[in-house]
Order: sequence, then structure tokens, then C-alpha cells
Amino acid sequence: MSTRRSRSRQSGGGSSSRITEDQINDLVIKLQQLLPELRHRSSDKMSAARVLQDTCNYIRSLHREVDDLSERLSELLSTTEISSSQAALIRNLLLQ
Amino acid sequence: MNHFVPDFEIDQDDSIPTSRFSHPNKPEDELMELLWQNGQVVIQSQNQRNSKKSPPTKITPSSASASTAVTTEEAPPSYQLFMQEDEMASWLHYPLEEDDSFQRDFCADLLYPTSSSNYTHSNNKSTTQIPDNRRLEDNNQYHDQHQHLDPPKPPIPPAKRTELETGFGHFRRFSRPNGNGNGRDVESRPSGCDKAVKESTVVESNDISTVKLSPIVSNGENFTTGSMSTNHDAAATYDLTMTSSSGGSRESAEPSTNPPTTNDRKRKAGEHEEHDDEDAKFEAADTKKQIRGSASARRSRAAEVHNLSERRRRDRINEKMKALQELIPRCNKSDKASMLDEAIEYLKSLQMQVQMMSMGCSMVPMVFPGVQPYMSPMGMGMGMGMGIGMDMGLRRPMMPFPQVLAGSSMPRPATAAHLGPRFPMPAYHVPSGSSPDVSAIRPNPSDQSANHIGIHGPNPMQAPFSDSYQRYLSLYSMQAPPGPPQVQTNAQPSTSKGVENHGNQKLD
Repeated sequence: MSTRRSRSRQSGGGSSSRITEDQINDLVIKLQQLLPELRHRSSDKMSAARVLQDTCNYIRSLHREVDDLSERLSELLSTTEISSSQAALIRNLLLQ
Repeated sequence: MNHFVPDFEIDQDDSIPTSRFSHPNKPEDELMELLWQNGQVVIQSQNQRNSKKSPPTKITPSSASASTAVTTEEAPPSYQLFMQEDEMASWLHYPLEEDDSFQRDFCADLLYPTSSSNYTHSNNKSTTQIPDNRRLEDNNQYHDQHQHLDPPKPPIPPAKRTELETGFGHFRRFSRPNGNGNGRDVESRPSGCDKAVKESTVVESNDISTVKLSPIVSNGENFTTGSMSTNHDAAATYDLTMTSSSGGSRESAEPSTNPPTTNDRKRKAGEHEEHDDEDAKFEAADTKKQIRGSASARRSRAAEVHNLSERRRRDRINEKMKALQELIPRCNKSDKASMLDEAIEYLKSLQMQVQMMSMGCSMVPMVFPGVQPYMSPMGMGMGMGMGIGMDMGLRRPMMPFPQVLAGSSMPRPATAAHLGPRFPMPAYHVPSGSSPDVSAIRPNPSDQSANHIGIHGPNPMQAPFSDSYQRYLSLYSMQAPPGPPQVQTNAQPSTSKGVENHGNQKLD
């Protein structure tokens, strides 16, 4: 009965849930294409969980990179002779 | 039907003078025998299952007459269900032995299904999977047939009438008490029982039936009175219990077994006809239910496994989703799709940010002359200044030119000596330390950085460098000092910053 119910729910849940599922699949594929590690792999093989996991890792690595870069940039800015406009530009970049 | 039924019973009674049945007074012994028969029946059913059409070896062999053969064939299908029942019987044995009534009930249960199975089989030898309704109808017809067939049976020796006789014999046993108690019930029941049975099979309310059974069991005496309703309920319960037991759930079967005993009492009071009809129907229903149950059980198991794996997968995905959500600032979206959207956008922005920052890092050194040392113009400039540096040559006057190209080789001591403390070369070293990274990053972003910052000249890289370098040279008039050892350059940064600022100011 439970299975029937679930099936009926799924089928009954119908178009909206299906759409979201498809949407999510599309989004996961998009996400996957943003990941340098997975971009070149056959996209179909990747499970959504794997893509999400790699996305998390990639975001963390990006955070780290951003931190490093910001640190270096601030150091450079503090040490370099830069026109105020340039410094403002760079700061804007950093603040992004 | 009713007319035939009483006749049938009579015929059976007459025909079956078997020892088993002959001992109606000793319920316990009979019960024990019945259980044994059930076991045998079970064995037969197994054989028949393997080869449905092949007549049961042990039980059938004695059946020389056509009626016996029919009975043998009939028995097998019903006994498939009974296989489990046998197990049940083993479970129930002890309690049955304790209470005679219970034992009777057990026997009756076992026998009844057997008898019903016999009927169904005889009617539908080849077609075991006929729909319930058809089977019921067939059963009714078969009852008629059996009644017709029964007459030949009586002449047959008791041994030959294995299954049918056993079933009937049980009925007889029951019938005796029934006859004592309620003769009319037997007659009237068949129709009602049939209906009830059909209904019960259709409904398949195992729980209800079991529940009813348990109280029935408690009130075995009431059943003996032979009330129609109780009988129907009992029959329904039997079917249900049978199905449940066949399904393989012994738990359900155990409770069911107890109720059957109550049914048996009723049956004792009851009639062969009723039992036969009920049994046949029940058996048919049971077999069908079993088939359904097995198929549905497999399906359900597969579905469960599938559901489990699906759940795990979803849990994993949800887990990652949460982790991702935590990584995304300002993501309040509870919706997965929007959250993923956010994640994608955030990822893109992060990638852009990293790109821009790396560009910025490359830009800063580009803007800052100190980074230039490794550039070719610097090398040239260095070469120009080398003479002076060499003259000053505090540390390594003999530095080869190629080293000058290395960013770290900036001649701080030379400059310091040459130009004074104000322009210590270390200032340049600081950027130089980061220069390798910058150089790595540079190739790509250089053009973009030029555009963003609006650096003049088609070649932003070279333009700032050349300018700054020229400035540098002009200001310091400089120095191509042989590069000081890199160790110094590394150690310098801390001090260099303050100096750098001075230098920067001057440069500006």
C-alpha cells in the first residue's frame, strides 16, 4: 500500500514536482559545467550528490583562493604606489 | 446444492468407515492423526507444486478408482497453502493437545482447506489460477459433481480415499457433534456460508477476521451451538488466517490457528456441505491470495529496496544541499531549485572574483615598478647600472648578469649605498617576493587588467613597466648593482615596506 500511495502521490503530485525535478537536474548540470574538475567529464555519469559535493569543495577552494588573493592584494596595495583611482578599482575588486 | 449436501454427507459417512473417522469419540487421537495427514498432504502438495498435474505419489497410490484419482489431483493445490499450515500445526500441536476442542478446530481447519482444495482441484485440475469468482462457481458445481461422484466413493476402500476422505472424515467428526447440536444449521449454512466466504475472500480483511477468531476461540462452546454468523465469521477467519499463514507470516498464522479450533467446533456441529463449500472457496481464495501475496511481497520487497536506495540518495543530495547552502552567503531559499540557482550564481561570481583578484594582483605589481626587475627592460636597466653596482659591490660584486634578471636579485645594498637609505632596494624586493606568482597569473589577465584599469598603451604590461622603470632609472640614475643574495631579499620585506613608501612617494 505504501508503495502504491507513494506512486500515486508521485504521479498525482504530477506536473509541478516533475518540473522541479527537471529544473533541478538542469541546474545540477549547469553547476557541473561550472566545475573545472567535472566540466570535461561525461556529464551524464555524475550523480547529483557528487556534483553537489564537488561544488561545495570547489566553492571552498574558491574561498581560500579569494582569501589568499585578497591578502596578497592588500599587501600589494599597502606597498605599491597606485593612483587613487587604481586603488579604488582594486579595492572594488577585492570587495566584490 | 442443499439437497445434495445432506446426501453427500451421508454417503461419505457411509462410505468412510475408516479407522480414523471411526474414532469420533477420541478427539485427541483423531486430532493427532489429522495433523499427520496434514503433513502428508503438505508433502503431496509440494510434489504437486513441482509437477501440478502429476498425482500425489504417497496418498494417491491407493486410489484405484476414478473418484480417488480425482480426489488426489484435487488435493495438491490446496495443500500448498497447507504446507505453511503444517508448520502452524506443529506450532499449535501442544496447545491443541491440551484442549480437545482446540485440536478439533485445528484438524478441522486443516481438513477443511484440504477438502476445499480437493474440490477446486478436481474441478480445475489444469487451471489453478482461475479467478476467485470462477473458482467459487466451479466449486459449487464441483460440489454437485462431488455429490454425484461421491456415491462411487463409498464402495471404495477407506485407504484409497486419502485426501477426500480425510477431509470428509473430519467433517464427519464435526458433523456428529453438529448433528447432535444443530442439524438445521448445517443445511441452512451452506448458502449463507458461501456468501460469507465469498465476501470474506473479496474483502480479505485479515485483521478483522483474526480479531473475530480470537474471541471465537475463547467461546468455543458458543460455536458448537452452530450459529450461522459465527460459522461464517469463522470461515472467513479461516480464509484470512490461511492466507496470512501462506504469506509466510507465522505470527499471524499462530493466532489464526487458535480461531480455527473454534471453527472446528462449529463444523463439528456443522455440515460437510458447508465445510466443503467454504473450504473450496477458502482454498481458492487462499491460493489466489497466496499467489497475490507472493507476487505482491516480491514487488513490495523490490519497492522497499528501491525506496531505501532512493531515500539514501535523496538524503545524500539533501545533505550536500545543506552544505552548499551554508557555503552560500545570504541564501535563504528553502526551495532546492532556487537554492541551486543561487549556488550557480554565487559560483560564477566567485570565479569572477578570483579572476579579478588574480588580475588585480598582477595589476598591482605591474603598476608598481618594483615588480619589474625580471622584465627585460629591467634587465637592460640593470645592465646599465651594473657598473655602479659593481663598483659599490658590497656583497657580490661578481654577480653575473643573468642573475640580475631574477626579481630577487635587485641590488638593494648597492642602491642603498649609492642613493642613500631612502631608496633601499628592499622596497622592490617585497613585490619581487610575490612576483613569481604574479608572473604566473599575468599572461591571461594582463590584457583585461589593462582594460579595467585603463592603463595606457596597447601593451599594458610593458607600458607601465617601461614607464616605471624609466622613472626608476631616472630618479635613481641607477644602478645595476649586482644582485644581493636572495637570502637578503627574503629577509628584507619587513623593513622594506616603510622604505617602500618613501620610495613610492618619490616615484609618484
